[in-house]
Amino acid sequence: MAGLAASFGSGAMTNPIADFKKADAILLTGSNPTENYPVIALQMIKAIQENGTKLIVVDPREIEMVGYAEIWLRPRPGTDVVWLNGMMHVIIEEDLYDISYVAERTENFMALKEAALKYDPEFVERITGIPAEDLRMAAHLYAKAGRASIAYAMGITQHAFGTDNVKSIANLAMLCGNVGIEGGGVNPLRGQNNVQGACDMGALPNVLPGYQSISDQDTVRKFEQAWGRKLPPKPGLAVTDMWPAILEGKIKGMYIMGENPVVSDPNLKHVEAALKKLDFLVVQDIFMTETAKLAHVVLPAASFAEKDGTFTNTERRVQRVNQGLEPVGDCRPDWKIICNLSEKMGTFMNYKYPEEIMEEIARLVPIYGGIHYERLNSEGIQWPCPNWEHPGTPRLHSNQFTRGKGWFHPVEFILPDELPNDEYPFLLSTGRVLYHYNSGTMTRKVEGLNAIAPEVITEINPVDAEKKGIADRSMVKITSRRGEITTLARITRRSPEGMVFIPFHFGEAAVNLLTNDALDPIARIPEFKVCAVAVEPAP
Amino acid sequence: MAKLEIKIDGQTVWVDSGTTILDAARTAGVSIPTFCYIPNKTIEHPCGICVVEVEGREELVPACSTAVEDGMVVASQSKRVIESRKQVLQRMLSQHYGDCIAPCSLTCPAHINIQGYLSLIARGEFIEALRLIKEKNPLPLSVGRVCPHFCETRCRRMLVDECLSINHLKRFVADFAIHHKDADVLPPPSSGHKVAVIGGGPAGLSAAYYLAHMGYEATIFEAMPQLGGMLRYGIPEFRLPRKIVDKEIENILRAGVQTRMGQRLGADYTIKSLKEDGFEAIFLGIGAWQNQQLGIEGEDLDGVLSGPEFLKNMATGRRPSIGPRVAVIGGIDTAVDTARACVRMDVDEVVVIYQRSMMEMPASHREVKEAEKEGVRFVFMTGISNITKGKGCLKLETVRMKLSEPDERGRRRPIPDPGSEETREIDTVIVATGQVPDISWMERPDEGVKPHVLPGGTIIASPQTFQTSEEGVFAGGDVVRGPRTVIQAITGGRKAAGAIHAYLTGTALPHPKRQLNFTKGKKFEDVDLHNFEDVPIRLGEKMPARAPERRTRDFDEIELGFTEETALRESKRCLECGCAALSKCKLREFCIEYEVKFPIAKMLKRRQYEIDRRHPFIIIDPNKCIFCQRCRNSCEYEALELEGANFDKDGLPKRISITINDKCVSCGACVDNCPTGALVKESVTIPVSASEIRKVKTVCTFCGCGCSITLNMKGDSIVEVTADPNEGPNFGNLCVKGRFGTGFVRHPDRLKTPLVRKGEYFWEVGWEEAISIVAQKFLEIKDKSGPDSLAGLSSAKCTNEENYLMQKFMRTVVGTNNVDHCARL
Repeated sequence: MAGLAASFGSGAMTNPIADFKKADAILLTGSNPTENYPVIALQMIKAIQENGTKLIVVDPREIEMVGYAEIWLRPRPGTDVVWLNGMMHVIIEEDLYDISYVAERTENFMALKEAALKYDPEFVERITGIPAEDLRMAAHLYAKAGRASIAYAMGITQHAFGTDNVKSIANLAMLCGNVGIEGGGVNPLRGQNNVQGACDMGALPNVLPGYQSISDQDTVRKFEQAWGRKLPPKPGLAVTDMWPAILEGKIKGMYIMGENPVVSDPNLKHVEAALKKLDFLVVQDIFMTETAKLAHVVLPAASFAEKDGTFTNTERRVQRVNQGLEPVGDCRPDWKIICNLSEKMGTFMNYKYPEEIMEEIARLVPIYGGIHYERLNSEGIQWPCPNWEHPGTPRLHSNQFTRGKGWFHPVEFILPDELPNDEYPFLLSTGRVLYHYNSGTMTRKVEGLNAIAPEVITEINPVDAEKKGIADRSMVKITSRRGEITTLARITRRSPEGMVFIPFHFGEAAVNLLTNDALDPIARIPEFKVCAVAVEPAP
Repeated sequence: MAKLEIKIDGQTVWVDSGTTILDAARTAGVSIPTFCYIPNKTIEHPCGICVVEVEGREELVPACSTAVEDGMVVASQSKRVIESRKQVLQRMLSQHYGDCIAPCSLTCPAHINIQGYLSLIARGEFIEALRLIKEKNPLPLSVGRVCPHFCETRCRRMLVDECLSINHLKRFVADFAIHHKDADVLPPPSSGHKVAVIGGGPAGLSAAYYLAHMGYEATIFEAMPQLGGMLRYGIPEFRLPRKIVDKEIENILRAGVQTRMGQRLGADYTIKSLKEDGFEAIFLGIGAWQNQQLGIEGEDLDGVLSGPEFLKNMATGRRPSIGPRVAVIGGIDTAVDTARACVRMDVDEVVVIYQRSMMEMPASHREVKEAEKEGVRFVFMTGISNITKGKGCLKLETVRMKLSEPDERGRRRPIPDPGSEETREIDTVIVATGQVPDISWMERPDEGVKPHVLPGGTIIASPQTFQTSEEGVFAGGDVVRGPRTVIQAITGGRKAAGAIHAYLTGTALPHPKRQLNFTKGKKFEDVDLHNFEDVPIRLGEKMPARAPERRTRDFDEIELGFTEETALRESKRCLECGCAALSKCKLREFCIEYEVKFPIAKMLKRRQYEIDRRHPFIIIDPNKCIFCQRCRNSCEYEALELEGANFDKDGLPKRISITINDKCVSCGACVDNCPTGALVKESVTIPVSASEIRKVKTVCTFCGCGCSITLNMKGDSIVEVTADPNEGPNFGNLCVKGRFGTGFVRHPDRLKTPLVRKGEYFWEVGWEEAISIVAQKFLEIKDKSGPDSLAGLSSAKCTNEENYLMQKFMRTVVGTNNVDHCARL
């Protein structure tokens, strides 16, 4: 998100989901929508089958969407900046870019041009393994399409240089005049149901709700007045920086609501050691998660079906969550627990109902200024929605970018933090499967889902499997510098040679024991998608 | 584009050219039935039910595939159209095989959703199960102990091994609630309308309970010192303990029911006076308390007691004195109860004398068996001629009975066999042959309201409206039907409450709709045994009970109740006969709407296809398929293969095959499109009709797409998740997690109470304690090491409001910006 914010001025999906059907071409990279967002995948498939939309897939794995693609580019993991620059090289050199758009709506084009021209297709082929001719074809297809959309996800961002990847994607889209138009845009698909909302609400160490700067004096004064408290002046720590801070003794107490970092964070041993070192840990969740087991106090929370509120989806749509049933046992909704705790600590939080919280949000957060429960009854409203009369904004940057003009950030290729060597000859990538969600807290409690996907499976290419003497559905041992796990193996061409893929839903064989906690320097996002491992048949 | 003008059923509408008649009708608000129609799909074998008449055309035309023409005049409800639709439905029915509603439920006098509550028990949702029971029966603690369980006599499990112990399971959940939160929701505030309920027995309690839940101020007038009626005064302690009755009544009164105790109709008030006191309706639930006389010589002698009177005295603590040799005369439950009470007293011999055979005995046969174990002797086919006084005892002259020649209706009555007289010496005779309502209150001169009665003494009330011959006076339970079971009285009370509501609000009672219930066979011998081929034999759980030699030493309860484990095991034996598609079945809906008559005799008797349970979420039952092809046409993944063969002249196939291939992503679109039970969700185990479902619109919790979903709720249970095809961003589409993944919400592993670690283990504590500990610890750390020594993780799974509060809490209450969430993960 930081990458998009730097390029455009705000970091969110620029276009609505429904726009995929209006695109002439879709460039899909670092995202496996049939497993992660099946309903969005379906809209893309319908666009392809019914409207003749052309699909370009750029992914090291042979994901299902490859079957619908016009062109499939299979780069080596961690080389995204290279092929992106390579495409721009072709587009600029052949004058396929949108000259008037670039002139009127963007800045810093010359710097981009200078950077991109270094990446000719033959050079790109050497680094990424993508045949030069394929790259040219993809560049032509994207640039010549009237309306072209780019969709990406964690395959782009979960790298030590994820912010660079995103900036590079933004460059490509702006270059072809695809930002701010129907059917186009730069569309990061958000994996968790309310990731967008959690960011919007300022559950971030460096910004206040609505991405309002913590260093802007007027903003700070506004919040201090509304909340009746002085605000802490310096930015806090990102989650990935919290673990080392705990181990260094700087953080002593922690309050975790609805997260399971012991399964979902990289380099788990490190996370677990940190959590165990805490003087005091409170976990608020619906199940006894791996993280909750380490807590001093566990608070039982209500599930999504047991409370009222709003979620904001990947396309910035604020939607009403309605309570269907009473919380089980003595569970309470999270907002109520926070109110109770706050009161006990001497600060009265006087909210009777979530709607009152949203009214406060609308007063303090300009992009949510027109969000009121009574307006959300049908399909919700897409922010920014500054006031009561505003209908919401399906497409961002229509007339101008949030920051005025779009900024080209020239980006250079950096090698992934950890690359294969003789000892750890394979690349490991992680992600989800269709039948589970995140750390499996919810989905692994559903009988049918668990019946289809009961255990963790490592996907490995047939060539590698043969080399290593691994049989289909036999046990394999995966080792990285940080740990080892044993799983079933599935031999499949979905994984390219030299790469294995493991989903992260399974606490009993947690792939994040292996992953690298190297971080993107700006977004503080970990490098889940690339780390070096050894793969051997399990003894 | 120019609009075309057409007329549908007299209404004029303007639509675009190319619109089908079906869609045009929808814009006019005229609904034309269809099974097969999916917009923008060509249907290979149209179902044919959507036909309409178009002026100027000889043949009826299908509305779903006929485009409108300017000036078209359409009739969608003409006689011809309706006749044609009926024929389509008839044809479909002739191929349909299954049960709409489970036989247990159909047999239950209260029509309790038995399959539904068994499934909730099996899922561990005991309180939800109780809530479902209480929709029809507010006295489950008592009924769970004394019901003769009609339901179990029709349980199909009998065809596999043995029937389920349904009633024991009902008792289990009712007992469970005593120690946990009860299932009752608070009734709405009183509307101020007053209804008098005369009699605080099962019928009256039930009527008052449901009236209170409909917002009425219900007042029970009870002649006895305590509520409960026959439950308290007619059933002995060892079968139904007083403290259980007390608990039951406490639950009823919690609904806001008023009481006037010790008030006897005819002595303390009259119906007329109640009307004058402002009661807008009166419910008579006074039961049948008067013992029927034998009409023989010696009946009035000392030592001859009345059964009901005997039990009433036992219940009020005035234990009657009886001699060592006791004879109980009669074959009703009261006779057996009385005899069993006697064996618990200081006696040598208790014998029950009944003039017919065991088979004809109205008393519960199970109770007869238990009585025999306790030492009660039964003498059948024996009548009483007279009772005379002997030396320090009574002399009972008995006579053997034989059956008469059949009368004109084929009935054979017991008649004395001359010469078989015998005389027995007995110390106490207790008569319990039957009970009639006590209507002596009508004799009071100032009672101006006297409902008509039958010669037997029962009050006449309409079986639908429960109205007596008197305006505003309703009656139900034993006073109308004579002595019956508790559940029948409860049902009378509940239905009367509904009738009173209709009367007071001036609304019509819901028309007793003709129900079309498909069945695999009403009688056991009609049911195709192939249905149970795959069911492994697992015998039922036994009710733990105290041994006869121990239990006859006191009056304590005999049956001890199921444990949680036995209840779970027993409930899982349910075969789930009723159709899981009840709420979505268009076939049944249209058949009822078009009043299609389809005699049970013509229903299929044999299962044609095996039920396919291989898919993890979807059960395929081709026996219910009507070949509308919606499943195939709604599948976006070419995963559903539907084949028909041997088509008849009407275009219906004689052979069908439905297969889900490995392209399936389990999105469930086919199930939600299926208009019958041919495709059902494995997770839908509570059969409910569409009108019982509460729909809650919300947002899926599984990814950033934000699919709009509808929770189909029954009470506090999610029956299933569906999606509205007209609503974005998903327009009816969902993925496997969205449609099938909400089971976690009521998973038994959910955290239910705050936990605090003490050493290795967690201890359950209350909220106050937990919150205090957290607050104190946080403040301590903050004071000692500064606010930045605390950190908070918010959640991408929580709502905006919660994320907002979390960061506000960290920034203002704690005073740090150390707040983040796992967005990057």
